[in-house]
Amino acid sequence: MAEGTRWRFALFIAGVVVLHFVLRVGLGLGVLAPDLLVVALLLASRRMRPGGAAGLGFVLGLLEGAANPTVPLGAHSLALAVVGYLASRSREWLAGDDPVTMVAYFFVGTLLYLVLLFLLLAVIGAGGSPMAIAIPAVFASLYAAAVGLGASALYRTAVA
Amino acid sequence: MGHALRSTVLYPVMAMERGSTDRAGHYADAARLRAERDSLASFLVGQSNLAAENRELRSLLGFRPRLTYSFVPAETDRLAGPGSAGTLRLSVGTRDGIHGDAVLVTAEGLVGKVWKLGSEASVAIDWTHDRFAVAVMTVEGETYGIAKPVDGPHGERVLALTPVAFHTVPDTGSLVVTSGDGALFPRGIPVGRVIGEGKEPGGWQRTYFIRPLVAPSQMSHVLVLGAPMQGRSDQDLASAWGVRLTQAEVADTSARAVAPDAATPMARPAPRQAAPERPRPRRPARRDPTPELPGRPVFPTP
Repeated sequence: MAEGTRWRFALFIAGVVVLHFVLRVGLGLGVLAPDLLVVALLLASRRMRPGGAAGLGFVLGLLEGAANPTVPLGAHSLALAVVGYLASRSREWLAGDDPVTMVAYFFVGTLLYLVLLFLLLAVIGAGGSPMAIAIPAVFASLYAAAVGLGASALYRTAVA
Repeated sequence: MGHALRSTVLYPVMAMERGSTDRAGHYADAARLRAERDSLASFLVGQSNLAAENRELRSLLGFRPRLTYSFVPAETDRLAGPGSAGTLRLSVGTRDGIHGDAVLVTAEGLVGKVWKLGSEASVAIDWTHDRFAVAVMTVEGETYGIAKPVDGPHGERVLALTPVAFHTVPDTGSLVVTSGDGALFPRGIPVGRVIGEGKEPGGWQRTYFIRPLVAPSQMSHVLVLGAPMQGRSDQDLASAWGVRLTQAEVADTSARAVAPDAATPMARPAPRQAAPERPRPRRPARRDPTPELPGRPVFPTP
């Protein structure tokens, strides 16, 4: 990646992260807004090494946990670190960035994050009913996949 | 660490969130709020003479003023996401004078309690949250127990009153209020009505389902109860909701000896030797016609 493109991409990811907190926390939209934090992590992980992607996921998880005090602080960090690591490793077998692949990538990544978060919360006894989580998680993953595809296309258009 | 992040990196977002909560309150259902206010004003006007009479009687009997509760009005936002079921974000925090585990109420009754306290905003749990539990009793005081959230007979979220002694059978439709046991929830706050009997845990006690008076959709505006304070009000907390507790009152330690028969005039106590003479209570010269609220708002300290 060229130096200029790298900075533009980093700014783009930072913008998506800021937009996530503005929409979900600042404006209080909650789940009405897509989970742009996972989208940003999944986009960034495609261009980062596994260790760096896990670290980015950990930092983003800290911010998410701080903004959402109902969940223990480390839960988001751990879940996003695992997702970042796996997303980065997925380049080895998930080549190409056609729309179908990207939608599947965002969908599976978001779903994996929500499942991991649910399991972590279940371990500490705050997970709730699996059936009550399953359907919203699928819809949230579809939502994130659609928005992720849009964000990816927007970046391509901006760079091009 | 979470607090440090909220007060530094996330400070602009948290400030924006507080502003958005305030704006959401401005667009609340004005007609419903007006109806609630009118009902409350009507109730208070009807009770004003009673309160004044009660105050005079307590003054004549030498009772000290009862402890009343301060309150802070707050707007709420329901949190969403894994692990956030039954949690609300409150627009008030320690800056507004609330404390940890403070109780949330509405005009209908009990909502929940403060869970995580912040300086400008806090997180509360309502009665649907898994960690919620409240000591309750029926209005007549025959049935006591702990109410916890469960999935009811038709899958809806209700409270389960348990354990109830086997010989105690509360009527369907009975009003259930907080009993004050455990000192977390003040006594007399309406909680819900009994809707039926649940599964018996072991055959020696009963479980009853309670439908809470405050539905989750009615929690957009709440009152956060503050610490007890000495006030001129002589109303029980139950009377703030128009509930008359028929259960025997807990002994008022601030009162002098009272005759067992309430209809019998009380004998004057013998004067003590060592104790200084208490000044005779004087009848108020003029009645205050203003209806009295069951608490005082707490204003934020500058």
